[in-house]
Amino acid sequence: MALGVGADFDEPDLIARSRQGELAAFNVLVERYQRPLYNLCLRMLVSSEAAEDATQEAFIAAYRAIDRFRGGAAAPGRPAGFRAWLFRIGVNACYDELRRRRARPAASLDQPRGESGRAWDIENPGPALEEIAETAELGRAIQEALRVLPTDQRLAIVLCDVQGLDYAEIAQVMGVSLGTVKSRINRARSRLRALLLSRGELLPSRFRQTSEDR
Amino acid sequence: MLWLSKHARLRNNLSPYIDGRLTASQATALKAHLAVCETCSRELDELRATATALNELPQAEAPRSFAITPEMLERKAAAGARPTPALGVGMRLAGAAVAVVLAVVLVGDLTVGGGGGASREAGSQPAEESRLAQIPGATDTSKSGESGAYAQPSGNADSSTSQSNARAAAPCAPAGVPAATGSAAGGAAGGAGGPASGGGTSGGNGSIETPAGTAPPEPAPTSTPSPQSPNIAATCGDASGSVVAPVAPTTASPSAADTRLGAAGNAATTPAASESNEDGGASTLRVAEIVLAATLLAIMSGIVLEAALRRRRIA
Repeated sequence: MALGVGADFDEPDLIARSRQGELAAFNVLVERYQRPLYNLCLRMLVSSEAAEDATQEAFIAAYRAIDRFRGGAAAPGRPAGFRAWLFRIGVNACYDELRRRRARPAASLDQPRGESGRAWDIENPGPALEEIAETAELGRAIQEALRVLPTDQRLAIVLCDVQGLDYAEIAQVMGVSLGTVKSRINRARSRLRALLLSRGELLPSRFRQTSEDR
Repeated sequence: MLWLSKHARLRNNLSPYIDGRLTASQATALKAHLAVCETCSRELDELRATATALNELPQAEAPRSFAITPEMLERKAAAGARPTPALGVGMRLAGAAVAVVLAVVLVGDLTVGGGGGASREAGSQPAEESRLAQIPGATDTSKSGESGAYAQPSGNADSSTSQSNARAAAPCAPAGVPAATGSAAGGAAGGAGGPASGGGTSGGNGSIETPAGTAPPEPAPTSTPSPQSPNIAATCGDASGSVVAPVAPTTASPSAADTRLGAAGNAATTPAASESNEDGGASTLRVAEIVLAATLLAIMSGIVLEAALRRRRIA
Protein backbone atom coordinates (compact mmCIF):
# COMPACT_ATOMS: atom_id res chain seq x y z
CA MET A 1 0.00 0.00 0.00
CA ALA A 2 1.26 3.36 -0.87
CA LEU A 3 2.21 5.85 1.75
CA GLY A 4 1.95 8.90 -0.35
CA VAL A 5 3.66 11.85 1.19
CA GLY A 6 1.51 14.90 0.95
CA ALA A 7 2.96 18.24 0.14
CA ASP A 8 2.08 19.46 3.58
CA PHE A 9 3.63 16.49 5.26
CA ASP A 10 7.16 17.30 6.27
CA GLU A 11 8.26 14.21 8.07
CA PRO A 12 11.74 15.31 9.15
CA ASP A 13 10.27 18.49 10.55
CA LEU A 14 7.56 16.62 12.41
CA ILE A 15 10.14 14.27 13.84
CA ALA A 16 12.33 17.14 14.93
CA ARG A 17 9.43 18.82 16.66
CA SER A 18 8.38 15.56 18.26
CA ARG A 19 11.87 15.28 19.68
CA GLN A 20 11.30 18.57 21.40
CA GLY A 21 8.27 17.15 23.07
CA GLU A 22 5.66 18.55 20.73
CA LEU A 23 2.99 15.94 21.05
CA ALA A 24 0.82 17.51 18.37
CA ALA A 25 3.60 17.11 15.82
CA PHE A 26 4.02 13.48 16.71
CA ASN A 27 0.30 12.95 16.41
CA VAL A 28 0.48 14.07 12.80
CA LEU A 29 2.87 11.18 12.27
CA VAL A 30 0.45 8.95 14.11
CA GLU A 31 -2.35 9.95 11.79
CA ARG A 32 -0.14 9.21 8.85
CA TYR A 33 1.01 5.78 9.91
CA GLN A 34 -1.76 4.43 12.07
CA ARG A 35 -3.54 2.64 9.29
CA PRO A 36 -0.58 0.69 7.91
CA LEU A 37 0.72 -0.05 11.37
CA TYR A 38 -2.65 -1.22 12.55
CA ASN A 39 -3.02 -3.45 9.51
CA LEU A 40 0.41 -4.90 10.06
CA CYS A 41 -0.50 -5.73 13.63
CA LEU A 42 -3.81 -7.11 12.48
CA ARG A 43 -2.14 -9.47 10.03
CA MET A 44 0.28 -10.60 12.66
CA LEU A 45 -2.15 -10.96 15.54
CA VAL A 46 -5.39 -11.69 13.69
CA SER A 47 -7.36 -10.30 16.61
CA SER A 48 -8.47 -6.74 16.01
CA GLU A 49 -8.52 -6.04 19.70
CA ALA A 50 -4.95 -7.21 20.18
CA ALA A 51 -3.92 -5.30 17.07
CA GLU A 52 -5.43 -2.15 18.49
CA ASP A 53 -3.54 -2.54 21.73
CA ALA A 54 -0.29 -3.30 19.99
CA THR A 55 -0.69 -0.31 17.70
CA GLN A 56 -1.35 2.10 20.52
CA GLU A 57 1.43 0.64 22.55
CA ALA A 58 3.82 1.00 19.65
CA PHE A 59 2.98 4.66 19.09
CA ILE A 60 3.45 5.49 22.72
CA ALA A 61 6.73 3.62 22.81
CA ALA A 62 7.83 5.38 19.65
CA TYR A 63 7.00 8.78 21.08
CA ARG A 64 9.01 8.02 24.19
CA ALA A 65 11.93 6.74 22.15
CA ILE A 66 11.84 9.35 19.41
CA ASP A 67 15.16 10.70 20.66
CA ARG A 68 16.73 7.44 19.72
CA PHE A 69 15.45 7.50 16.19
CA ARG A 70 18.27 8.15 13.79
CA GLY A 71 17.99 8.63 10.12
CA GLY A 72 14.73 10.39 9.52
CA ALA A 73 15.86 13.95 9.42
CA ALA A 74 19.47 12.97 8.94
CA ALA A 75 18.83 10.97 5.81
CA PRO A 76 16.25 12.72 3.68
CA GLY A 77 17.12 10.42 0.84
CA ARG A 78 15.75 7.58 2.85
CA PRO A 79 12.21 8.55 3.64
CA ALA A 80 11.46 5.03 4.74
CA GLY A 81 13.66 5.36 7.81
CA PHE A 82 10.94 6.44 10.13
CA ARG A 83 8.40 3.97 8.88
CA ALA A 84 10.82 1.08 9.28
CA TRP A 85 11.73 2.24 12.75
CA LEU A 86 8.09 2.62 13.72
CA PHE A 87 7.17 -0.73 12.22
CA ARG A 88 9.96 -2.35 14.11
CA ILE A 89 8.50 -1.06 17.34
CA GLY A 90 5.10 -2.30 16.26
CA VAL A 91 6.52 -5.70 15.37
CA ASN A 92 8.10 -5.94 18.77
CA ALA A 93 4.75 -5.20 20.34
CA CYS A 94 3.23 -7.99 18.26
CA TYR A 95 5.95 -10.42 19.22
CA ASP A 96 5.37 -9.57 22.86
CA GLU A 97 1.72 -10.35 22.41
CA LEU A 98 2.47 -13.60 20.61
CA ARG A 99 4.81 -14.57 23.40
CA ARG A 100 2.09 -13.90 25.93
CA ARG A 101 -0.24 -16.09 23.94
CA ARG A 102 2.26 -18.85 23.87
CA ALA A 103 2.23 -18.68 27.62
CA ARG A 104 -1.52 -19.28 27.40
CA PRO A 105 -1.66 -22.01 24.77
CA ALA A 106 -5.40 -21.80 24.34
CA ALA A 107 -5.05 -18.61 22.39
CA SER A 108 -1.92 -19.43 20.45
CA LEU A 109 -1.78 -17.93 17.04
CA ASP A 110 0.32 -20.70 15.69
CA GLN A 111 -1.75 -23.58 16.80
CA PRO A 112 -3.34 -25.83 14.20
CA ARG A 113 -6.61 -24.82 12.68
CA GLY A 114 -9.88 -25.89 14.20
CA GLU A 115 -12.05 -28.70 12.87
CA SER A 116 -13.77 -26.43 10.46
CA GLY A 117 -10.45 -25.53 8.99
CA ARG A 118 -11.05 -21.90 9.65
CA ALA A 119 -8.38 -20.22 11.64
CA TRP A 120 -10.52 -17.64 13.31
CA ASP A 121 -13.19 -19.93 14.61
CA ILE A 122 -11.02 -20.11 17.65
CA GLU A 123 -9.75 -16.62 17.54
CA ASN A 124 -13.05 -14.86 17.53
CA PRO A 125 -11.79 -12.11 15.29
CA GLY A 126 -13.02 -8.60 15.65
CA PRO A 127 -15.20 -6.90 13.10
CA ALA A 128 -12.23 -5.43 11.28
CA LEU A 129 -10.90 -8.78 10.27
CA GLU A 130 -14.29 -10.09 9.32
CA GLU A 131 -14.68 -7.11 7.15
CA ILE A 132 -11.50 -8.11 5.38
CA ALA A 133 -12.38 -11.76 5.28
CA GLU A 134 -15.83 -11.27 3.89
CA THR A 135 -14.64 -9.00 1.19
CA ALA A 136 -13.41 -11.92 -0.80
CA GLU A 137 -13.08 -15.61 -0.54
CA LEU A 138 -9.51 -15.21 -1.60
CA GLY A 139 -8.85 -12.81 1.22
CA ARG A 140 -10.14 -15.30 3.70
CA ALA A 141 -8.04 -18.08 2.21
CA ILE A 142 -4.96 -15.91 2.36
CA GLN A 143 -5.51 -14.98 5.96
CA GLU A 144 -5.80 -18.63 6.86
CA ALA A 145 -2.71 -19.52 4.89
CA LEU A 146 -0.74 -16.71 6.50
CA ARG A 147 -1.67 -18.06 9.84
CA VAL A 148 0.03 -21.34 9.10
CA LEU A 149 3.36 -19.73 8.33
CA PRO A 150 6.07 -19.42 10.94
CA THR A 151 5.96 -15.98 12.49
CA ASP A 152 9.13 -14.72 10.84
CA GLN A 153 8.02 -15.80 7.38
CA ARG A 154 4.60 -14.34 7.91
CA LEU A 155 6.07 -11.03 8.97
CA ALA A 156 8.42 -10.98 5.98
CA ILE A 157 5.72 -11.67 3.44
CA VAL A 158 3.25 -9.28 5.01
CA LEU A 159 5.82 -6.51 5.01
CA CYS A 160 6.77 -7.28 1.44
CA ASP A 161 3.54 -8.11 -0.34
CA VAL A 162 0.88 -6.60 1.87
CA GLN A 163 2.64 -3.49 3.08
CA GLY A 164 4.80 -3.01 0.04
CA LEU A 165 8.12 -2.46 1.76
CA ASP A 166 11.31 -3.14 -0.17
CA TYR A 167 13.89 -5.66 1.01
CA ALA A 168 16.13 -3.09 2.61
CA GLU A 169 13.30 -1.68 4.65
CA ILE A 170 12.15 -5.13 5.66
CA ALA A 171 15.67 -5.93 6.80
CA GLN A 172 15.51 -2.79 8.95
CA VAL A 173 12.19 -3.72 10.43
CA MET A 174 13.16 -7.28 11.15
CA GLY A 175 16.70 -6.54 12.17
CA VAL A 176 18.16 -9.18 9.86
CA SER A 177 20.36 -9.24 6.77
CA LEU A 178 19.14 -8.81 3.23
CA GLY A 179 19.97 -12.44 2.53
CA THR A 180 17.73 -13.54 5.35
CA VAL A 181 14.95 -11.33 4.11
CA LYS A 182 15.28 -12.79 0.66
CA SER A 183 15.12 -16.37 1.82
CA ARG A 184 12.24 -15.73 4.20
CA ILE A 185 10.20 -14.10 1.49
CA ASN A 186 11.06 -16.83 -0.93
CA ARG A 187 9.99 -19.56 1.43
CA ALA A 188 6.90 -17.74 2.59
CA ARG A 189 5.69 -17.03 -0.88
CA SER A 190 6.30 -20.57 -2.07
CA ARG A 191 4.43 -21.91 0.85
CA LEU A 192 1.54 -19.56 0.45
CA ARG A 193 1.29 -20.49 -3.19
CA ALA A 194 1.15 -24.17 -2.31
CA LEU A 195 -1.41 -23.57 0.41
CA LEU A 196 -3.62 -21.51 -1.81
CA LEU A 197 -3.42 -24.00 -4.62
CA SER A 198 -4.30 -26.86 -2.35
CA ARG A 199 -7.36 -25.22 -0.95
CA GLY A 200 -9.04 -23.20 -3.50
CA GLU A 201 -11.48 -23.68 -6.28
CA LEU A 202 -11.49 -19.99 -6.69
CA LEU A 203 -7.78 -19.78 -6.96
CA PRO A 204 -7.14 -21.29 -10.36
CA SER A 205 -9.28 -18.78 -12.13
CA ARG A 206 -7.66 -16.05 -10.23
CA PHE A 207 -4.26 -17.36 -11.07
CA ARG A 208 -5.15 -17.84 -14.66
CA GLN A 209 -6.47 -14.39 -14.86
CA THR A 210 -3.36 -12.80 -13.44
CA SER A 211 -1.02 -14.89 -15.46
CA GLU A 212 -2.90 -14.00 -18.59
CA ASP A 213 -2.48 -10.38 -17.64
CA ARG A 214 1.20 -10.79 -17.88
CA MET B 1 20.75 -34.57 -13.72
CA LEU B 2 22.66 -31.43 -14.31
CA TRP B 3 19.56 -29.87 -15.60
CA LEU B 4 17.66 -30.88 -12.50
CA SER B 5 20.10 -29.28 -10.10
CA LYS B 6 20.09 -26.18 -12.21
CA HIS B 7 16.34 -26.24 -12.16
CA ALA B 8 16.29 -26.50 -8.36
CA ARG B 9 18.73 -23.64 -7.99
CA LEU B 10 16.91 -21.38 -10.38
CA ARG B 11 13.61 -22.17 -8.82
CA ASN B 12 14.78 -20.43 -5.68
CA ASN B 13 15.37 -17.33 -7.75
CA LEU B 14 11.78 -17.02 -8.84
CA SER B 15 10.64 -15.02 -5.88
CA PRO B 16 13.61 -12.64 -5.88
CA TYR B 17 13.07 -12.28 -9.58
CA ILE B 18 9.53 -11.09 -9.00
CA ASP B 19 10.86 -8.54 -6.55
CA GLY B 20 13.62 -7.45 -8.88
CA ARG B 21 16.33 -8.65 -6.52
CA LEU B 22 18.39 -10.62 -9.04
CA THR B 23 21.54 -9.36 -10.64
CA ALA B 24 21.45 -8.87 -14.36
CA SER B 25 23.31 -12.08 -15.05
CA GLN B 26 21.10 -14.05 -12.66
CA ALA B 27 18.02 -12.65 -14.33
CA THR B 28 19.32 -13.52 -17.75
CA ALA B 29 20.06 -17.08 -16.71
CA LEU B 30 16.63 -17.44 -15.19
CA LYS B 31 14.88 -16.09 -18.24
CA ALA B 32 16.71 -18.56 -20.39
CA HIS B 33 15.61 -21.35 -18.12
CA LEU B 34 12.00 -20.15 -18.00
CA ALA B 35 11.85 -20.32 -21.75
CA VAL B 36 12.50 -24.02 -21.66
CA CYS B 37 11.02 -25.08 -18.32
CA GLU B 38 7.28 -25.28 -18.22
CA THR B 39 7.24 -26.06 -14.48
CA CYS B 40 9.20 -23.03 -13.49
CA SER B 41 7.28 -20.86 -15.84
CA ARG B 42 3.98 -21.90 -14.29
CA GLU B 43 5.35 -21.54 -10.78
CA LEU B 44 6.51 -18.06 -11.55
CA ASP B 45 3.02 -17.14 -12.57
CA GLU B 46 1.57 -18.63 -9.45
CA LEU B 47 4.02 -16.89 -7.20
CA ARG B 48 3.28 -13.65 -8.92
CA ALA B 49 -0.41 -14.21 -8.46
CA THR B 50 0.15 -14.92 -4.81
CA ALA B 51 2.04 -11.70 -4.35
CA THR B 52 -0.62 -9.81 -6.21
CA ALA B 53 -3.37 -11.35 -4.13
CA LEU B 54 -1.59 -10.35 -0.97
CA ASN B 55 -1.06 -6.89 -2.27
CA GLU B 56 -4.70 -6.56 -3.07
CA LEU B 57 -5.89 -7.61 0.32
CA PRO B 58 -8.16 -4.90 1.56
CA GLN B 59 -6.71 -2.77 4.27
CA ALA B 60 -8.77 -2.35 7.37
CA GLU B 61 -9.57 1.13 8.46
CA ALA B 62 -8.02 2.19 11.72
CA PRO B 63 -10.76 1.45 14.24
CA ARG B 64 -10.07 4.71 15.99
CA SER B 65 -7.50 7.42 16.20
CA PHE B 66 -4.30 6.32 17.82
CA ALA B 67 -3.29 9.88 18.54
CA ILE B 68 -1.50 10.06 21.84
CA THR B 69 -3.05 12.02 24.63
CA PRO B 70 -1.17 13.38 27.62
CA GLU B 71 -3.29 11.11 29.80
CA MET B 72 -1.97 8.08 27.97
CA LEU B 73 1.55 9.19 28.67
CA GLU B 74 0.74 9.65 32.32
CA ARG B 75 -0.94 6.33 32.56
CA LYS B 76 1.98 4.73 30.85
CA ALA B 77 4.32 6.50 33.17
CA ALA B 78 2.42 5.20 36.15
CA ALA B 79 2.54 1.73 34.75
CA GLY B 80 6.13 2.36 33.87
CA ALA B 81 6.88 2.89 37.51
CA ARG B 82 6.56 -0.83 37.79
CA PRO B 83 9.31 -1.57 35.32
CA THR B 84 11.64 0.71 37.26
CA PRO B 85 12.27 -1.96 39.80
CA ALA B 86 15.83 -1.61 38.66
CA LEU B 87 16.13 1.49 40.74
CA GLY B 88 14.21 -0.02 43.62
CA VAL B 89 16.41 -3.05 43.59
CA GLY B 90 19.47 -0.87 43.50
CA MET B 91 18.35 1.03 46.53
CA ARG B 92 17.56 -2.15 48.31
CA LEU B 93 20.92 -3.60 47.54
CA ALA B 94 22.58 -0.44 48.76
CA GLY B 95 20.61 -0.68 51.97
CA ALA B 96 21.54 -4.30 52.32
CA ALA B 97 25.20 -3.44 51.79
CA VAL B 98 25.05 -0.84 54.52
CA ALA B 99 23.39 -3.32 56.83
CA VAL B 100 26.08 -5.87 56.07
CA VAL B 101 28.85 -3.42 56.80
CA LEU B 102 27.27 -2.43 60.08
CA ALA B 103 26.73 -6.01 61.03
CA VAL B 104 30.30 -6.89 60.19
CA VAL B 105 31.61 -4.01 62.24
CA LEU B 106 29.49 -5.00 65.17
CA VAL B 107 30.39 -8.62 64.98
CA GLY B 108 34.02 -7.73 64.63
CA ASP B 109 33.71 -5.62 67.67
CA LEU B 110 32.22 -8.40 69.63
CA THR B 111 34.58 -11.10 68.62
CA VAL B 112 37.84 -9.28 68.20
CA GLY B 113 37.77 -5.97 69.92
CA GLY B 114 36.58 -7.24 73.20
CA GLY B 115 37.27 -4.06 75.03
CA GLY B 116 39.12 -1.73 72.80
CA GLY B 117 37.10 -1.95 69.67
CA ALA B 118 33.94 -1.19 71.43
CA SER B 119 35.29 1.91 72.92
CA ARG B 120 35.45 3.50 69.54
CA GLU B 121 31.81 3.31 69.04
CA ALA B 122 31.19 4.47 72.47
CA GLY B 123 31.54 8.00 71.40
CA SER B 124 28.36 7.68 69.52
CA GLN B 125 26.36 6.96 72.55
CA PRO B 126 26.69 9.98 74.66
CA ALA B 127 23.22 9.70 75.94
CA GLU B 128 23.86 6.63 77.85
CA GLU B 129 26.94 7.99 79.28
CA SER B 130 25.36 11.06 80.51
CA ARG B 131 22.89 8.96 82.21
CA LEU B 132 25.51 7.05 83.98
CA ALA B 133 27.51 9.96 84.13
CA GLN B 134 27.78 10.31 87.60
CA ILE B 135 31.18 10.72 86.52
CA PRO B 136 32.55 13.76 85.10
CA GLY B 137 32.59 12.38 81.74
CA ALA B 138 28.96 12.97 81.44
CA THR B 139 29.46 15.44 78.75
CA ASP B 140 31.99 13.92 76.58
CA THR B 141 32.33 10.62 78.02
CA SER B 142 35.32 9.45 76.30
CA LYS B 143 37.26 12.52 76.88
CA SER B 144 36.11 13.06 80.29
CA GLY B 145 37.10 9.60 81.00
CA GLU B 146 40.61 10.23 80.12
CA SER B 147 40.73 13.44 81.76
CA GLY B 148 38.94 11.78 84.46
CA ALA B 149 42.30 11.24 85.71
CA TYR B 150 42.00 13.92 88.14
CA ALA B 151 41.30 11.60 90.75
CA GLN B 152 41.04 12.98 94.04
CA PRO B 153 42.22 11.12 96.87
CA SER B 154 39.74 12.67 99.03
CA GLY B 155 37.35 10.98 96.93
CA ASN B 156 35.12 8.70 98.42
CA ALA B 157 35.35 5.25 97.40
CA ASP B 158 31.75 5.53 96.67
CA SER B 159 32.11 8.23 94.27
CA SER B 160 34.74 6.38 92.44
CA THR B 161 32.58 3.41 92.11
CA SER B 162 29.76 5.37 90.89
CA GLN B 163 31.96 6.71 88.26
CA SER B 164 33.11 3.41 87.20
CA ASN B 165 29.58 2.37 86.77
CA ALA B 166 28.94 5.24 84.63
CA ARG B 167 31.80 4.37 82.46
CA ALA B 168 30.69 0.93 82.04
CA ALA B 169 27.54 2.20 80.66
CA ALA B 170 29.45 4.47 78.49
CA PRO B 171 30.45 3.24 75.13
CA CYS B 172 33.84 2.40 76.31
CA ALA B 173 32.12 -0.23 78.17
CA PRO B 174 34.86 -2.72 77.92
CA ALA B 175 37.40 -0.44 79.29
CA GLY B 176 35.16 0.60 81.98
CA VAL B 177 34.68 -2.87 83.07
CA PRO B 178 38.16 -3.77 83.73
CA ALA B 179 38.70 -0.61 85.52
CA ALA B 180 35.85 -1.19 87.77
CA THR B 181 37.02 -4.51 88.72
CA GLY B 182 40.51 -3.66 89.33
CA SER B 183 39.33 -0.74 91.23
CA ALA B 184 41.65 2.05 90.66
CA ALA B 185 44.69 0.41 89.37
CA GLY B 186 42.95 -2.29 87.55
CA GLY B 187 40.99 0.24 85.70
CA ALA B 188 44.08 1.72 84.40
CA ALA B 189 45.18 -1.54 83.08
CA GLY B 190 42.07 -2.02 81.13
CA GLY B 191 42.94 1.27 79.90
CA ALA B 192 44.42 0.86 76.59
CA GLY B 193 41.20 0.54 74.85
CA GLY B 194 39.04 2.41 77.15
CA PRO B 195 40.64 5.35 78.60
CA ALA B 196 37.45 6.42 80.04
CA SER B 197 37.38 3.54 82.30
CA GLY B 198 40.82 4.27 83.23
CA GLY B 199 39.76 7.60 84.40
CA GLY B 200 37.06 6.11 86.40
CA THR B 201 39.36 3.81 88.03
CA SER B 202 41.69 6.42 88.89
CA GLY B 203 38.85 7.91 90.65
CA GLY B 204 38.73 4.76 92.47
CA ASN B 205 41.80 5.85 94.11
CA GLY B 206 39.53 7.89 96.00
CA SER B 207 39.55 10.78 93.74
CA ILE B 208 36.39 12.12 92.39
CA GLU B 209 36.82 13.38 89.05
CA THR B 210 34.68 16.10 87.97
CA PRO B 211 34.84 16.05 84.39
CA ALA B 212 32.72 18.99 84.36
CA GLY B 213 33.23 20.09 80.90
CA THR B 214 31.98 23.31 82.16
CA ALA B 215 35.09 24.22 83.91
CA PRO B 216 37.32 25.03 81.05
CA PRO B 217 39.89 26.76 83.07
CA GLU B 218 41.31 23.66 84.38
CA PRO B 219 42.05 21.92 81.20
CA ALA B 220 45.64 21.79 81.98
CA PRO B 221 45.24 19.43 84.78
CA THR B 222 43.14 17.27 82.74
CA SER B 223 45.58 16.81 80.05
CA THR B 224 47.91 15.36 82.48
CA PRO B 225 46.43 12.46 83.97
CA SER B 226 46.31 12.86 87.53
CA PRO B 227 49.65 12.18 88.86
CA GLN B 228 48.14 9.97 91.31
CA SER B 229 46.79 7.63 88.86
CA PRO B 230 49.47 6.95 86.40
CA ASN B 231 47.46 4.38 84.76
CA ILE B 232 45.23 6.82 83.26
CA ALA B 233 44.49 5.45 80.08
CA ALA B 234 44.30 8.76 78.63
CA THR B 235 44.79 6.85 75.55
CA CYS B 236 41.27 7.20 74.63
CA GLY B 237 42.27 8.35 71.32
CA ASP B 238 40.73 11.67 71.06
CA ALA B 239 39.87 12.11 74.57
CA SER B 240 43.21 13.10 75.74
CA GLY B 241 42.76 16.53 74.39
CA SER B 242 39.47 16.87 76.04
CA VAL B 243 38.76 19.65 78.29
CA VAL B 244 37.90 18.04 81.35
CA ALA B 245 37.86 20.08 84.33
CA PRO B 246 38.88 18.26 87.27
CA VAL B 247 36.53 19.60 89.67
CA ALA B 248 37.15 19.94 93.19
CA PRO B 249 36.91 16.78 95.02
CA THR B 250 34.05 18.24 96.76
CA THR B 251 31.87 16.30 94.66
CA ALA B 252 30.08 15.67 97.72
CA SER B 253 27.90 18.58 97.12
CA PRO B 254 25.21 17.32 94.90
CA SER B 255 24.08 20.77 94.52
CA ALA B 256 26.87 21.19 92.15
CA ALA B 257 25.61 22.32 88.88
CA ASP B 258 27.08 19.25 87.38
CA THR B 259 24.52 16.67 87.51
CA ARG B 260 27.15 14.11 87.26
CA LEU B 261 28.52 15.12 90.46
CA GLY B 262 25.23 14.72 92.01
CA ALA B 263 24.88 11.41 90.44
CA ALA B 264 28.19 10.41 91.62
CA GLY B 265 27.24 11.28 95.05
CA ASN B 266 24.27 9.11 94.91
CA ALA B 267 26.01 6.27 93.40
CA ALA B 268 28.76 6.52 95.73
CA THR B 269 27.11 4.29 98.12
CA THR B 270 28.33 0.85 97.40
CA PRO B 271 31.67 0.46 95.90
CA ALA B 272 31.66 -3.23 96.10
CA ALA B 273 28.53 -3.44 94.14
CA SER B 274 30.12 -1.40 91.53
CA GLU B 275 32.25 -4.15 90.30
CA SER B 276 29.47 -6.46 89.66
CA ASN B 277 27.50 -3.70 88.15
CA GLU B 278 30.15 -2.98 85.69
CA ASP B 279 30.33 -6.49 84.58
CA GLY B 280 26.66 -6.48 84.14
CA GLY B 281 26.83 -3.31 82.15
CA ALA B 282 29.41 -4.72 79.88
CA SER B 283 27.56 -7.87 79.16
CA THR B 284 24.42 -5.87 78.62
CA LEU B 285 26.21 -3.86 76.05
CA ARG B 286 27.38 -6.96 74.34
CA VAL B 287 23.96 -8.34 74.33
CA ALA B 288 22.73 -5.12 72.87
CA GLU B 289 25.36 -5.32 70.18
CA ILE B 290 24.45 -8.86 69.39
CA VAL B 291 20.81 -7.98 69.17
CA LEU B 292 21.60 -5.06 66.93
CA ALA B 293 23.74 -7.21 64.68
CA ALA B 294 21.05 -9.85 64.51
CA THR B 295 18.47 -7.24 63.67
CA LEU B 296 20.59 -5.84 60.90
CA LEU B 297 21.19 -9.26 59.50
CA ALA B 298 17.49 -9.99 59.59
CA ILE B 299 16.68 -6.75 57.82
CA MET B 300 19.33 -7.41 55.25
CA SER B 301 18.17 -10.90 54.46
CA GLY B 302 14.60 -9.67 54.35
CA ILE B 303 15.55 -7.07 51.81
CA VAL B 304 17.39 -9.54 49.66
CA LEU B 305 14.56 -12.03 49.87
CA GLU B 306 11.98 -9.49 48.93
CA ALA B 307 14.00 -8.29 45.99
CA ALA B 308 14.37 -11.83 44.78
CA LEU B 309 10.69 -12.52 45.15
CA ARG B 310 9.75 -9.36 43.39
CA ARG B 311 12.02 -10.13 40.50
CA ARG B 312 10.46 -13.51 40.11
CA ARG B 313 7.04 -11.99 40.14
CA ILE B 314 7.97 -9.55 37.44
CA ALA B 315 9.55 -12.21 35.35
